[in-house]
Amino acid sequence: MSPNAPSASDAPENEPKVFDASGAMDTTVSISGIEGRLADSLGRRASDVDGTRAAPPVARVMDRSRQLGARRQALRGAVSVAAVLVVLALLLVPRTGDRPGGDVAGGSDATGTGGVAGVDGPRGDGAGRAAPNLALASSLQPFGSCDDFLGWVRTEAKKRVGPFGFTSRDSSGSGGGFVEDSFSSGRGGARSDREQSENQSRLSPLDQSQTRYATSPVDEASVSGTNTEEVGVDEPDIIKADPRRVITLLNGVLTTYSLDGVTPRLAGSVKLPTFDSSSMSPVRGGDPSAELSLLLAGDRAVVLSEAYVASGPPPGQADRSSGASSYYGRQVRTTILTGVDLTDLAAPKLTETVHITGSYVSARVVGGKARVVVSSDTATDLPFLYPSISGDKASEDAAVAANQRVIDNAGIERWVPTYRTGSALTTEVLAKPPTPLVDCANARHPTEFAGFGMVSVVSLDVAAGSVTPVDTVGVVATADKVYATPEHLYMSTTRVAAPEYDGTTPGTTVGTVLPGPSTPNPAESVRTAIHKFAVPVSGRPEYRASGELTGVLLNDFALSEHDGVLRAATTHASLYGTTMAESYVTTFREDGGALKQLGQVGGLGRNEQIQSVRFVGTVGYVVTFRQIDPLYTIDLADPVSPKVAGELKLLGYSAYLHPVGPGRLLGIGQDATAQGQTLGTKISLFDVADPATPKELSTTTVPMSSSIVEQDYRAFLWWGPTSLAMVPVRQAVGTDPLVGAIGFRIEADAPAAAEVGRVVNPIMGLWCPPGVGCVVPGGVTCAANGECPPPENPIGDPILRSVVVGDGVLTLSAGGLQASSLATLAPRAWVPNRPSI
Amino acid sequence: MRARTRPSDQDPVVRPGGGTEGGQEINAAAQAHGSDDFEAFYLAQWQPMVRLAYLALGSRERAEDVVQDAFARVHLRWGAMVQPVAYLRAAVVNACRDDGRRLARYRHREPSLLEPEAVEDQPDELWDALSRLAPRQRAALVLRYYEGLQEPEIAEALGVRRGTVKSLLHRAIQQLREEIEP
Repeated sequence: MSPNAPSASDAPENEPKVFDASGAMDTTVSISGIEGRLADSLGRRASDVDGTRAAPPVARVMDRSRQLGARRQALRGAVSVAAVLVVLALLLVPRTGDRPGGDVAGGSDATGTGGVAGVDGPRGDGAGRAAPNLALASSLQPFGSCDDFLGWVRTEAKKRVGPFGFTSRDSSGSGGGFVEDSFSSGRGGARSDREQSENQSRLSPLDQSQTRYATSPVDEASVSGTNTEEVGVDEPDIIKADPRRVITLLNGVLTTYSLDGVTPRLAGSVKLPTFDSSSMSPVRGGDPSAELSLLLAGDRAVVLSEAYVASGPPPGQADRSSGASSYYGRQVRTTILTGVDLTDLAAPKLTETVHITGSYVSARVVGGKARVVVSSDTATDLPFLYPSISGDKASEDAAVAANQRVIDNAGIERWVPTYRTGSALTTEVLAKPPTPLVDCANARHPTEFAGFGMVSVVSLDVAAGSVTPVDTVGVVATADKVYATPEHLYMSTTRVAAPEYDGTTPGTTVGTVLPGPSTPNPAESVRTAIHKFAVPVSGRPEYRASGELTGVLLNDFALSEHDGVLRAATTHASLYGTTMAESYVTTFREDGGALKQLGQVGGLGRNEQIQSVRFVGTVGYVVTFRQIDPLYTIDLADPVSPKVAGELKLLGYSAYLHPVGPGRLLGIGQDATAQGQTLGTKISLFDVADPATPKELSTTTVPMSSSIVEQDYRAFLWWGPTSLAMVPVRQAVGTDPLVGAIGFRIEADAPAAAEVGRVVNPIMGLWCPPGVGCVVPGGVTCAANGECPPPENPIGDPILRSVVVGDGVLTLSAGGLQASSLATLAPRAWVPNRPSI
Repeated sequence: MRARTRPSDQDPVVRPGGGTEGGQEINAAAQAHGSDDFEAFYLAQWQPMVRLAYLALGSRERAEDVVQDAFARVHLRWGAMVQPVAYLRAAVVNACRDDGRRLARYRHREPSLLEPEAVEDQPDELWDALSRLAPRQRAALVLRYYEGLQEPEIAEALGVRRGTVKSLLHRAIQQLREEIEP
């Protein structure tokens, strides 16, 4: 369409005006609330298509999918070639002077090695290549007071505000310079962390850590938790076990089981608050309960979740609470902490609820104390004004001036995340001002501006049953990844160089068309800062040092601390393109308030996508994949000069790597053809005793299948005492498809991983509310009393987690827990998570 | 220049999990990931997506076609889907946009083509004004005021920058205002 001609009523000549984009606070022109009418009209019109026709058979969709797949195959060859050419072209583009506005300090190629095309083979780079000012640029400065905070943030904000607020070429303004991720992330950089964290490999315990309690028929040393990233650091999950009990969290219901010997018995349950109120809506339109996870300490648990939650009372208009047509204009992304009292296992009780403005990033528990990381996009809510005539210089200048005033008028509460306590967000509760989450004196900012959001590390005394945030520290940035050892917490913040407003608005000049599809930032402007905090047994985390490097962390397993040295695996490439350029492992040591770079090795997996990373002691493992899977072993014994020690090329790839005894590594991923087409789950045992010559000892392949471990490392279990590995697998073809878990015994020095057995959890009929009844997939109709007949084609229910309890293994699926023998995996009992109807 | 990949025209960028970048084929895994799951997902999301597509297109028939195609794309990648709903929504709105673009060419000559089956129970000037917006503007409005998405998510769904979303919404609202409040 053509640009809108300014109408006389909107903008008389020589009289530029501005108006509020939301229509809430108009300065010069009266607004009729068209947004409200629009929301009403859309909500009403949506029902035009309701109820007249049911969904066509799913088979039709699958046919179409096959057609698309065939077409894609035909195109694939050509696309691959094109992708390589694009990358070469990008690498050859001059790096400097191609971006307007301010760039970050230290040049665009800060590591001194990144982005060099055509270098042969992996190589090591010694110390001295790092630009020392990088650590300073990212080092965190304290604010003395709220006045200091406001002064700093207003100065930075006014430099960057334009006629449309913090709109920039890179969308890096209000997003705090965050990296917009694609579909892998529901929000900017921060959201992606948790999802990516589920696709990881990182140094993790050879045996499992778990808080243990009281006496019980089961020895506490014989209970496993689920897989975590680091020994001695617990993480939120959907199942927690101790010698007395098992707690699960599925479909929005927390279920408790008592342990009678090794067989769990259903004890009780409590439903978490659903998001059906007008003040809340799910983060991803899907099932909000899928987002829940659980921390357990003593008789208390904390449920972590996220939703869009009203940030204040309804703006004086009718409540639009009717499901999808709700108008969420004033809802902000919120981390929800719900306390659960498990003193009476048969009757778990919800205690207190805290709503923190910001996205949930990650959490870690050491000694009953939880540190929860929340990333808040604080500046998005500022009431910026827009020019009445886009592209008109006078109008835009007026808008810029108005927006600078908005910044000057924005108080501290606009920039600091807040929280509210109370299980129900009634209008009354919402009318009260929320509590600031972070004291100005406990907030810090990077020396070099990195965005307006705030990353907060909240402390909770889980064991004491409190979900009230205490000892919170904040960093003005946007969270990327979180990694913790028992003593330290590392937080990475990724940013794109945020340009200052230079007086022009791209693509909005009168007479031009709207901007085309976005051209994301060149990869070289993506930088990752790493901030290190010391985490005491109790009390406030203490800031120690920062470092910075070019590129992005592959996932949050890509950080690892060993002997005082921090190792980081980064990919230096476009986040959006189809090809990853090159990956690096960089070593740092804390030195005088900075994480100083010690050394770096690069050239890993050029033009390939990293699939997994794992650091085990002084060796790093990096798996890349395009058509074949090179497993690189990286010798980090001398952190100053890390080097690639060996390389093993295989078909397929490992998406998750786990150390399974001295010199042994288990890889779980996909087998693939020489053309890179995946064939099914592959479980490989590697002999890495000699890093120079990694060898594949044995493989098990399950054709046409996938394992949830590829996405979520918590689904894997390694039980050191009996050398048992449990790998959930889902197969959809064959006469007797496996939907369950395979157990492997991997004895030290054994030549192969020996299959112990397979566990299958039975499918529970879906439960439908009594009196309603429903149709479940597969055409099974449930009765009005909620009873559903078994499906026609009974196969196993997908196994989500495995834990060891005494001499048994418990496997969790949607319907409950299956107890099996630890020694043979022979089934013992099936314990549904609700009483039979 | 590298445009961000959009699901409507290329392989999606699905980073965690199997990962579809780098020419990796995960079709096999997708089929293996559980057709039962996919069917449940399909049954649960079909109607919300038809509503969305209908609002973005103004036609139920075309909405159903677009939605079916979007589900097929999701199915193709089912094994590596991290956020199937977000992906599906993006596929739907982008298909609507493209569909709308094709139809926009006929708009001036054959206005009747646009509403072959519209149920005109009552005059709705806002609805009519919507149909005169550029497809991308309309899609942005529907995501904002019907789906209730925030600007960053609209940017994700449409495959554009956040600044573009701001200006799309701004211009669309401006045009609606001009058309219905003269």
